[in-house]
Amino acid sequence: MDSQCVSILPRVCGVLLVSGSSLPDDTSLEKLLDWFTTVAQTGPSLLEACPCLVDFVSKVAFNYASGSSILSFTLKLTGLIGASEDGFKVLKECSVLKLVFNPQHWQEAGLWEDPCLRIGWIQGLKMILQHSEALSFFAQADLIEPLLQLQTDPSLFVASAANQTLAQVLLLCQSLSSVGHNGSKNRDLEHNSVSMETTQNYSGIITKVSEYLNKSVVLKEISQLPGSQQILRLLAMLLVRVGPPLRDTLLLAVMNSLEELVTTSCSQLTVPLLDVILAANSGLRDDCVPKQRLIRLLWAMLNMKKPDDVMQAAAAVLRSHQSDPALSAHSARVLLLPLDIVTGVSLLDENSTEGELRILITEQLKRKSCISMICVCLSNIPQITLMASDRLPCPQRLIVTAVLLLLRLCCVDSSSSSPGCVEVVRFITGNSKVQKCALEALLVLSKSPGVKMVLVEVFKVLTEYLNSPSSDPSVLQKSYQVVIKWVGVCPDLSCITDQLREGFIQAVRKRACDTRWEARDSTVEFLGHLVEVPSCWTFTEQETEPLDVLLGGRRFTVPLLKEALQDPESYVRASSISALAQTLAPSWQDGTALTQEQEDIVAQLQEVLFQDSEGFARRAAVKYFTAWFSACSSPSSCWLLMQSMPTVLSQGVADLDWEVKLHTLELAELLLDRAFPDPSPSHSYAVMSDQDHRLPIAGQQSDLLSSLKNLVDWGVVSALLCGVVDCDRPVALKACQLLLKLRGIVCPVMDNAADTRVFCQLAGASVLQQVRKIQEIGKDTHVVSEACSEADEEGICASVDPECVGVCEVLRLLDLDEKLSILTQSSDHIYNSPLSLLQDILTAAAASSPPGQDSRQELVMDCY
Amino acid sequence: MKLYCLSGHPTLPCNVLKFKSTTVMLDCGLDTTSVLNFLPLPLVHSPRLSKLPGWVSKDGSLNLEKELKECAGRVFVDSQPEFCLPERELLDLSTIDVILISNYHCMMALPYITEHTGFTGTVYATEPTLQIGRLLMEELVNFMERVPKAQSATCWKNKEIQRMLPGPLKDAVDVWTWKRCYSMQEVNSALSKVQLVGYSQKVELFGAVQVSPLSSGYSLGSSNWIIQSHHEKVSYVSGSSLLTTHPQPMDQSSLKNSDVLILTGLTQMPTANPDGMLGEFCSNLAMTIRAGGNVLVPCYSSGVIYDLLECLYQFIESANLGTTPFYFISPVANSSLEFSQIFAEWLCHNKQTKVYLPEPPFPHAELIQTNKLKHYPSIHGDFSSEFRQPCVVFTGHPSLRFGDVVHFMELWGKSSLNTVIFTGNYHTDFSFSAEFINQSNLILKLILFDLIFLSELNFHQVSKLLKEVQPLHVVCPEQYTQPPLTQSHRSDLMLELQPPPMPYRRCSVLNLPFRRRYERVYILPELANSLVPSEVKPGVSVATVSAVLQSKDNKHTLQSVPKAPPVAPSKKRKRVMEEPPMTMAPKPLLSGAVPLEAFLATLQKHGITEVKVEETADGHILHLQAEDTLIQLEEDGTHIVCDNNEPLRATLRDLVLRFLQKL
Repeated sequence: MDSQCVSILPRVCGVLLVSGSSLPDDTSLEKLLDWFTTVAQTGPSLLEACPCLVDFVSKVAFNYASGSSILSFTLKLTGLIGASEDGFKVLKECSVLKLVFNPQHWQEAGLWEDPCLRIGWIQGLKMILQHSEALSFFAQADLIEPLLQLQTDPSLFVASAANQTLAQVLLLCQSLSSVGHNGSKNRDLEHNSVSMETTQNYSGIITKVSEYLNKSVVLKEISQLPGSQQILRLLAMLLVRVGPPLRDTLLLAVMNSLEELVTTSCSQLTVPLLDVILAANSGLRDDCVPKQRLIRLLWAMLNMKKPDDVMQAAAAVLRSHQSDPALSAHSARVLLLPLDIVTGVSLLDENSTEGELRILITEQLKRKSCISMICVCLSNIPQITLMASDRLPCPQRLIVTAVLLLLRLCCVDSSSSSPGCVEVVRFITGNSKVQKCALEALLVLSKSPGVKMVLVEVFKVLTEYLNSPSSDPSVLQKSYQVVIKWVGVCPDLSCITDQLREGFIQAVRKRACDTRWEARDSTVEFLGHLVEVPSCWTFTEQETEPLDVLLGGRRFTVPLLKEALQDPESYVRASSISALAQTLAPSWQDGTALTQEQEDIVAQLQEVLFQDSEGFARRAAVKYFTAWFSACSSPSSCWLLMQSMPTVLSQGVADLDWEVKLHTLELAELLLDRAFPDPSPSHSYAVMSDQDHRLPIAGQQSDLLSSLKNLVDWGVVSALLCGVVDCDRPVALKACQLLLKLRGIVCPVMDNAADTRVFCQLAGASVLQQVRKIQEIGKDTHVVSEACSEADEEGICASVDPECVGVCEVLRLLDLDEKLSILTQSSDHIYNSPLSLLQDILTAAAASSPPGQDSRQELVMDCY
Repeated sequence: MKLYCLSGHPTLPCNVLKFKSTTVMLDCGLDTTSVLNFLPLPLVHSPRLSKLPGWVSKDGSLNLEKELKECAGRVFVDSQPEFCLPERELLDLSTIDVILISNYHCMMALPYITEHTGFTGTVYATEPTLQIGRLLMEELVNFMERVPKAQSATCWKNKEIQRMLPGPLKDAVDVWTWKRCYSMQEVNSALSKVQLVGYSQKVELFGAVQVSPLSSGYSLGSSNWIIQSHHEKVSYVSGSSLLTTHPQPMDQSSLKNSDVLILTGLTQMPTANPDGMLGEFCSNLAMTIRAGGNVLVPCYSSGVIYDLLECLYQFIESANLGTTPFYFISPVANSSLEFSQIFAEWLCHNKQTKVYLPEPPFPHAELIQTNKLKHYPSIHGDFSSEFRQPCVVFTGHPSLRFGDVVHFMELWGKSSLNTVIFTGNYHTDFSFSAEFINQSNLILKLILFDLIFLSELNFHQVSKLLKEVQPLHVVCPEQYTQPPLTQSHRSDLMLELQPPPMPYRRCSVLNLPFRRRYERVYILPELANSLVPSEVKPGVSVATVSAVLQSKDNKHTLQSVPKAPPVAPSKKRKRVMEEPPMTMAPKPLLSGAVPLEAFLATLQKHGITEVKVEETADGHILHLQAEDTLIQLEEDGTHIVCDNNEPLRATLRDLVLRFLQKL
C-alpha cells in the first residue's frame, strides 16, 4: 500500500468522525470501502496496514451523532475488519463487535428506522460471517432473530441483502459442520468441545430458519404477497446453493407449506413457486420420497385452473430439463395447445385430461390477451424440439406446418383462413410480436428432421412477409434470417421454381428501395450473408451457391449494393460496403481478374473515405480494404488494391472518427505482417546485433530494406507515425505497439548501416511538428550513442524535403517504450487512485469547515 | 322518418332522408363502375383496340359484331361509356327540398338529379367542394367530348339479348337506365343551384330542421352533416378520415348524442396501415425507375394526389430519383394544383401556418418550381416534345376507359419493366380494371394499392368513433355488416354493434327506428303572464293553460284566447268565419293522495263506521258494509261504487275531495 495513503488515512478518519462534514460526493464512502476491500484481499491484513481503523470504528460506535451514511459505512468496515480471524479478535477485545452488531443498540438510538443503517448492519454481518468464531458470535448474540425479521423488510434492498446474508449463514453452517465431522479425529478435547458447542449452534440456527421458512411461505392474505414472493425467491436460492443434508432438512420443513401454497393457486406466486420446486427437484435422486412429492406438486401446478399459469408452469418444467418423462411430455402438450387451437392443425391427439384446459385456453384466445399466450407457446418451441422424438406429442414436421399456418394468419395480406379458432384472427393479424415469435420458432425448426419437404412452403410464406407492405422492419429482418437459416440447412434447393424465385427477387428488390432505412439495411445485410451460406447441390448433382439459386447470383446483388452505396442513411451505406466485401470475397480468394465494376466500387469507396459525413460508412470502407487484403492470396499482384493503399491509409489515419483510425491501423498491421512474415522476427534479429554477423546481415539488410521501402511506399510508416501522436488513446496505443514491432524488426539490423537510410513522407504539418517535437525531446533527454547521433542528425536534417523523416532514426529517437507505458494506463488512472480519493475527502472537509480555523490541525488533534 | 337508398355503392352514396316534413338528399355519388364494361376510348388510334374481333354467340344465332368486341375472353361494349345513375323510380325527385354534398367525389351525379327531374331545391356544399367538384366534372366531360363516338350501342341492352351475353355483361343491372355523360351546360346549370356553406354554419330548412356541415378530414372542404330539430338529431357521416393528411381534421365531438347515425364511405381495404402503403408506393416506384421502367399512376386529379406528391417530395432525393421527370396530365391539372394552394382555411393546422410565412401550403409548388413535376392539359401539344423516359405519370381516369391514361396503357402495356400503380379503391371500384389489364395481353406490372383509404375511415377507427359518439342507431350499407368476400375469416372487418346496425342496399326504404316524442311550442309573454302555477310537489309547479295554438312554418305558438267582442247590437247576420273560439273555463285538475287513516276517521265522523279495509296491489278497497258501497283508493284514481244512492255518492265524493288539491 502506498505509504502516502497510510500517512493521511488517520486524518481522513478524523474528517469522517466529525459529523456533518461534507464529502466530495456520495460515492466516496463506497470507493473508500472498495479500496479497503482491495487492501484486505491483497495485503497481509487490513489492520496491519491501517491500524487506525479500529480506533475509528470504536469511536463511531459510541457516537450516535455521526450521519447515517457514516454509520452504515462503519458497520460495513467493521464487517470487513472482522472477516479475518485476527481482525475479529481485535474487535472482540475492544468490545466493539457486540455493540456494533447489536440491533438493540441502534434501536435505542432511534437509528434502526433508517434503511441505510440496516443495510450497513446486514452487509457488515455478511462480511464478518467467514469463520467459526464469527458464527459462534452470531449464535450467541442471537442475531438470527433480527436477521429473519429483515427478510421481508419494506426496503427491497434491505430485504434482498438480508436474503443473501441468511444464505451466507446457512452456507457457513454447512461448511463448518462438514469440517467438524471430518477433522474431529485429529482435534484435541478442547477443540472437540468447541465443535460440539458450535454444532449445537448450527442446529439451533437451522431449526430457526426452517421454522421461519415454513411459517412464512404460506400466503395468509393478499397484502403479504410481496413478502411471500421474497421468501420463495430466498428458498429457491437456498435450495440451489446448499448441499444435501441441509437441503433435505429445509425441504422437509417447507414441503407441507409448499403443498398448501400450490392449492391456493395465486397467479403472482406461480413463477417463484415453480422456481422453488424446480430448484428442489433438480438435485434429488429419483427414488427419494420428497422427489415423489415434488413431482406431484408439479403435476398439480400443471393442472391449475388459470391457463396462463399452466402455460408458465409448463414452460418452466420444460426449461428445467427435469427428468420425469411424463411430466415433460405433458408440458410440451400444454404448450402446444394454443397453436393447435389457433391453427386447427391437430398437433395433439384427443386426450381427455386436456379437455378442460383446451376449453379454458380457447376462451382465453378470444380475448386480446391471447397474444402473450401465443407468444409463450411459440417461444418454447425450441425447448420442445430438444425433446427426444418419442416423447414429442407429434412429429416436428407437423409443428412446422402449424407455425407456417399461423404465420399466414398473421400476415395482413394473406387471405388464408384456418379451421381453428376464428376469433383469434382479429388480434393476431398484423401483430408483429406474434409474427416475430413465429419466425423465431421457424428459425429453430429448420433443424428438425424431415422438414426439408416444406421448404417451398416456408419460402412462400417468407416471400409473402417480405412482400407485405405492413411488415414491420424487425419482421423483415427476422424473415431474412429465417431464409438464410433454411437455405443453409437444405442440401437441395432444386424445389425453388422460377416462379418462386421471381417473386422472391421482386420482394428483395422492392425492399432495397423501401422508405424505411431499417428495411433497406436488413435487405443489404441479407445480400451479404447469403454469399456466406455454404454451397448446395441441385438435383443434377451440380454444386450451386444459394445466392445463385435464390437471386440469380452476383449479377443481381452487386448493382443493388452499388445503389445502396448512395443511400441517404449512413447505416445502409455501411452495411452495403460490408455486404459488397462479403460478396466479392470469393473472387478475391480465387484471384479472379478485376472487373470494371470492382474498379468503380473502389473509386466509390475512396470517395466515401474522403467525403462521407458519417463514421459508420467510413469505418466500413476501411474494413472493406482490410477484408480484401486478407482475402487476397497475393495482394502484391493485385495492382488496384496496392495502389489504393496509400490513399486509404493516409485518409483513414487522418479521420475524425477514432474507430476509423483504429481500423486503418489494423490494416497497417496486416501490411506490416505481410512485409515481415516471420511471426517472431525481432527475436531472430535481436541476437545478431553485433558486428560479428555482418555478412549474413548484409543479405537480410537488403531484404529488410526493400520490405521497409515497400511499407513506406504503401504509406504504412507515415500512417503509424501519424497515429502515434493521435489524441485518441486507443489509436496512439495501437500505433505505438506497431511502431515498437517495426523497431524491433528493423533497428537491430539497420543500426550501423548509414547507407541504407529510408525516408518517409509525413503528411500534415501538425503531425510533422509533433514528431519533430518528440524528436527534440528525445535528443534532450536520452543519451544517444555517438555513432548513431551523427546519423540521426543527418537523417533528420539531411533530407531535402522538410516533410521527410528518416524511418530508423525516428524509430530510435521516439521514446516508444515510455510512450507505451503511459498509453497503457487508463486515462483516468490518476483521478481514480486511492490517494486522490483520500485527498478529495480532506479537501472537501477543509472547504466546508468555517474559515479562520486551521481545520487540519484540529482534526489531527481530534484523531490522536 | 324514412331513408330512401338510391345507390348501393358504399363509398358513392345517394340517400334521401324524410324528416319532419322535409326531404333531404344526402350526396349524389355517381357509380362509375359501369364504364368497366366498355372498351377504352383511345386518344390516338390504337391498332390493338381497333383490331379486336366482334362478338358472335357460339351458335352464331346472335350477332352483335358492331356493338360488342371480344378482348382476351371478355366482351366489352364498343360505345361511348355510360354511367349507372342513382335510382330514380323510388321516389319523386322533384319533391327533394335540398341536397347536402359531403365531398367532391360524392357530387358527380348532380347534373342528372338537378336537371330534367323537376328539382327546384337548393344544393348545399362548401366552397372547395364546389370548385374542385366543378374541375372533376369538367375533366369528365372533357375526357368524353375529346373523343366523340358517333355510335351508341343499345341493342345489347335488350333484355332478351342481354340474357344470352357472357358475364359480367349478363349480370349488369338496370342497363336501360345507364346514361351517357352530361354536357358542360348541364354542369353549369346544376352548379348554379349550389349555395355555399362554411363548417358549423347552421342552415334552417323551413323552420323544421337545421342542417350544418362539419369538417370530416377526408379532402379539401369535405364535410359530414348534422340534421337536427329541437329534439332529434341525425348525423350523416360520409367520407371521413382520422389520419393527419392535408385537410382540416375531423370534427368528432359534434356527432355526439345522435339518434341516428348514417355511416357511409368506409374503406374496403382496412387491413393495411397507411404509412406502410405509402412506403410501398414509393418503393415500387423507385424499383421500377431504377430498373429502367416507367410508372403510371391512374388517379383522380384532386385529393390523394396531393398527399402522394407530398410523400414523393420527401422521397425523391433520398431515393436518387432527382433526375426522373414526374408528369401530371389532366385537362384541369393546373387548376387543381393551384386550387389546392388557395384554400388555406380548409387545410390542416400545419399547412395553414405555412400560409402566414408565407409559403405555399403544399410542397408540390416546389416540385413544379424545380421542374421535377410538370403538368400538362393533355398528351398532345407541349407534352409530346418534352416527354422523357423513364418517368412517372399521374393521369386519369382511374377506370382506364377514357382520358389520357388509355394512351399510356397502350404505350407501356407491352413491357414488363413498366408498372401501373392503382391508388383507387380497387376492391370495389376498379378490380375490373386490374382484370382488364391481366386479360388484355398487356404484360406491364400491376400493383394495386388502396391509397384512397388514406382518406377513409377503417373499421377500427369507426368502432372507436362510434364508441365515442354513441349514437342510438346506426344505418350503413350492407357491405359493412359482413367481412369482405376475399377475407371472409376476418370478423374484425365488419361493424359489430349493439343494437346491430341497420343495413341498406340499393332501393331499400328504411323506417328509421325512432319516434318523435316532443315538439317545441312557444308561449307568448302575455299568456305566460296570466298563468298561475301551483306547486304540486317541491320543485314542480303546474298551471293549466287555455290558449290558441298557432302553427306556421313548422313553428308552434300558444296565444291568449281573444276575448269575445261584445255582441254587436246590429241584427246583421254574423259571419261564421269571424266568430272567435268559444272560451270555456277548464275543469279543475286534482292532485294529491288520500291518506287512509285520516279518511277512515272522516268517514266515522260522518257516521260511516262499518268499514272493511282490504289491501290490494295498487292501494286499498274500502267496503262500507252498511251502505253496501265500495271505495277503491288507488295510486292514480279513486272510484266510488255505489248503486242508486246519489246523495251518498256525492257525500263520499266531497269527503275524498277534501284531501285533494285543486288546480
